[in-house]
Parts: sequence; C-alpha cells; structure tokens
Amino acid sequence: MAAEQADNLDEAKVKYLADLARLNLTDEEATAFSKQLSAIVDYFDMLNEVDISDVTPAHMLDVYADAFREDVPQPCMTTEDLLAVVPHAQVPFVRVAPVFDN
Amino acid sequence: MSSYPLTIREITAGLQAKKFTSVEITKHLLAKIKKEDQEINSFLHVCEEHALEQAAAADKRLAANDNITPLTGVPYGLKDYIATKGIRTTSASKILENFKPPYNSTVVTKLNDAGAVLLGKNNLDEFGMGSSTENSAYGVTKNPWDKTRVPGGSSGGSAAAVAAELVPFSIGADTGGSIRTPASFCNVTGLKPTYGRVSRFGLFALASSFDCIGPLAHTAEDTATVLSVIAGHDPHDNTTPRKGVPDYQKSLQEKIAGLKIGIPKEYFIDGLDAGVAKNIDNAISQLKKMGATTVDVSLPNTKYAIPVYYLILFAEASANLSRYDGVRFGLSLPDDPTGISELYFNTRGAGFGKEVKRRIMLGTHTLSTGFFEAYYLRAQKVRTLIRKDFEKAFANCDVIATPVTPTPPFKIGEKTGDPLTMYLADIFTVAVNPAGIPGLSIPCGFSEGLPVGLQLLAPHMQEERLLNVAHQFQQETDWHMQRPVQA
Repeated sequence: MAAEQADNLDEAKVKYLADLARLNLTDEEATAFSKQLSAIVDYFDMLNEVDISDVTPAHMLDVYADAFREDVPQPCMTTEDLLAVVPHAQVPFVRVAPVFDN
Repeated sequence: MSSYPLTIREITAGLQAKKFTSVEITKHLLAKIKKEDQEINSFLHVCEEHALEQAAAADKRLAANDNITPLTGVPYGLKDYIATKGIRTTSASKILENFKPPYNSTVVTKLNDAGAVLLGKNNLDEFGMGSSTENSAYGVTKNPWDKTRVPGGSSGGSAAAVAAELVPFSIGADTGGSIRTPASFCNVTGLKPTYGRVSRFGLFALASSFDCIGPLAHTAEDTATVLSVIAGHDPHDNTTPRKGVPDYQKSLQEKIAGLKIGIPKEYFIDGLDAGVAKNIDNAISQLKKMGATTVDVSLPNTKYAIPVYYLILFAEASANLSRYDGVRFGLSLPDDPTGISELYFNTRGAGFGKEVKRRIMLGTHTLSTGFFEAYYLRAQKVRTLIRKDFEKAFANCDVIATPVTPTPPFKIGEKTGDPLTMYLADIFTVAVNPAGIPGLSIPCGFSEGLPVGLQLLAPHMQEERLLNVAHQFQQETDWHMQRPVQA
C-alpha cells in the first residue's frame, strides 16, 4: 500500500469508488473528497509498522458461541406492515425499476 | 407543581408518594422542550400524543400498584437511531426523513413494558457518523454549557437533553465513543455496556462488531436503573449472551477501599489539554482518598486504535448502508426511474450527507480486490493486539481510568473542514469498542467552565464494577450535580 496507493485516490479514483457504491457525486464533492480521503488513508498507513506475523484476526464469534435460538414459530410482521413503508408499492408487490438497464 | 426533581430515583419516589403524576411531569417536560429546545436542538421530533398516552397508562399502573418498576411513569428521550413503531426514526439522515418503522426495537419494547414514557427522538450525527453532532442533516445540537460549542457525538442530542434537564435519561448508542464523548462534553453520566450486553435489534447498524446501546443520565445510580431494564439476552440479536442480568443497584453501595486502578501511560500524552489533565489527576486523587490504589499499566497498541477502528468501521458501514437503496423503505428518487441504477444513484446521492459518503467510499475502497488484506484483514489482526493489551492490563488492576477526550468541548465549526482532525479527537474512546469491553464516562470537574469527563473501563461484563466505582465517587463529589447556567 503506502504512498503510491494514497496518490491513487485522485478525482478519477474517487468517482470510480462512488460508482461502485452507487452514489451521485458533484464535481466539488469529488475534488474535496479526493484530498480528504487521501489524507485519511495516508495516516492509516501507520498500521504497516505493526508486526502481525503470528496474529490471528479478531472476530466476536469466539465470545458468543451460544447464538442459536430454538426453532419455534414466533409472531412476525405482516406483509401489510412491510409494504406500508415501501416507497412504490403495488400491493401485494414492491414495484422496482427495470434491473437490466445497462 | 412548579418544579420537579431531576433524577430517576427522585422522580420515581415522587410518583410513588403521589406528590405528582406521570401526566403532570410529562406535560411539564413537553412544555420545557417546546420553550428551550428551539435553541439547543436536542430533539428532532417530539411525540406529544404518544407520550401523554403512555403517561396516563403509567398513572393507572401506579394507582393500581400494578407491576410498578423504577421506570414506571418516568419520561425519557431516545437517540433517533433506534426504531420506534409508527414514530419517525430518521438517523438524522435525509434518506430516512419520513420513515416510520413498522416495529419497535427491543430496548423500546423493554422500556414500554417497564412503563417508561417516551417524549421524543434525540439528535445525532447522521447514522452515528461523527463526534460532534455537526453531521446531523437537521442542524447541530448546541452544548447547554456553552451554546457556541458542540455537545460531542454522535449521541449529542441525548447528552444535551439530559444536561438541559429536558429528560432525566436518554438512550444513546456507542460505536467508538458516541455515548462517552457527549456525556463528557455535557457533564452527564454515560455508559457503553459490554458488546452484546444490550440487544441492538432495531438499532440502525453502523459497524455491527462495535455498536452498543446504553444509557445517559445524571447519576451512576440512574444509569444502573436503566441498564437493569434494557440489558439481557434477546433472540432477535444473536450477539446477546444467555447470561442473567444482575441487579446493578445491589453492588453500588460497596466501598471501594482496596480497588486497584490501572493508569495507562499511553492516555496521558503531549496533546492532552492541561485543564483536562488536572481534573483527571484530581479525580484519581479523590478515588485514592477513598481507599483505592493506582498501578501503572501499559496499552502499547493505543496509537493504532484510530486506524484499526476506522478501517473496520468503514468496511462494516459501507456494507450496512447498502440497504438504503430507494426500493424497500426511505427516500426514493426519482418517482419514476427509467432503471434501477438511476434510482440507486439519485436516492443515495441526494439522501446521504458528506461524511456518510466519505465513509461508504472508504469502505468500498478498503474492501475492494487487492486492498482487503492490506487494510481490513490487517486491521482485524491489530484489533487482536488491542484486545490482548486490555487483557494483560486487567490482570494487574480492577478498572482503568483515563480521560474521555483530549480537550474540553470544541467550538461548532472548529473541526468540520478536516475529517481526519475530527477522527483524531476520538483517540481515548475508540480502543474500547474493538475490545468489546464496557466503558463509563462520569463528570469529574471543569476546565475554564467547560465539563471534563473521567473514563472508567472494566473487563467484559463487569458493568457492576464500573457503576459501583462511579456511584461511590458521586457520593463524595458533586460535579455530576453541577447545572449549566440558564441564559
């Protein structure tokens, strides 16, 4: 990683990331974000100095091994409850714009 | 009555002695919010009708002596980041401006069952992303102690509402300091419980391996009361262990003579404000006067806590926030999109604020092919080292004492131009969440009239120890009862 990669967070890269994340960005945002994100990534490069050769990654699963619940029927939300918050519902369906538009 | 008590304990006593009713205190606080919160902006919305209904029901319960709890009839605020059925829940984001969840979060269900009265939803940084509440899409919350300064974040609305005496307690959430920092900045007591101690069902996820829900209140005793109600196993959140909830009131009275307090040198650094340092020293001297002893401990990986915390957060947040897509709930733009991409880009582009976009893009970057090992995986490994630091330190002490923040509350606008500077302000709070341990912030003095908080940390599931030390400290000091001067 290091410096060369931080340099890569130029406006073009920022626009590419926004594209991957499905975010409209204005040109001003792209300019400002390029500078800000580069500074952040640069600072975070300090993790490179840590010796992690024999370290396993942390996760919370080791702490909570009894997570499974009993398989018994429970009351749950109804279709009506869920459709009530859908912006463009056509009961009993969710209306979605064409998916293959590219 | 012209004035009502401030603390949960006194309100409960007043209600049960029939000195006033829940409807009366609820009306009093609703009027106070209407009058005084215009300026502070600690509430995003107030649910007056719902509150009065809950208060009337609580009064019936109190009159009939029917299953009364220490929260029956007691009003409260809730960070607007936690789902309330049929009541707007925005996460301080434009993308959820008109969202009314179809279900209650588990904490709200538990507070409802206990008979507590929800007055409204407190302001925050959008989706919890910030340390000052300046990232709210609905305007900053002002610090009641100095209205030109921030209340801390992201639970800034919750802390300010308690400090301004608009509610006796509020429920916040802490991903990297979001309860402790505002508690410190607003001179209230705030607890981030152990990861998994309180169910997150209904909390809008930011970083799922860090997020914790917890109370902010005037005293450690009140904090204990609320924790007893909201803690415990929940089948809807499989990170909540099947461990019983202790009676947190019980251990409060124990004397702390013989308590070993660890002082980590990595938290007393050059950048530490002199006024903060002095107050922390005084607080530690006070605890020693009460019979505690101190021992030097080391948390050598502290300086890596900020990159570890933020790298993991970016990754988890970018995944969690992919659900805001304009299809199933929330904002949806435009009304009649020609294709799904148009819907995604417009909804997310218009709905998310700048800090949310920055973090989503950084998460997208660090999780992308070729970068995953260098960033996310490396951060998870250093996280293991941070966790081990705490395990080693706690082998030699009962609690660890540190400052909550390097400075007292800063000016509104002071750090908004530079996101990295804002991140660095989290230096003393962020290591706690990757480790999963509980942390408490209690008022411990003032620096030039601005509140300073003491952070106490304990091993997993040792909330009792934290609340005990804090309660004993609050028996000997009155920092927590100092009130902001009303303008």
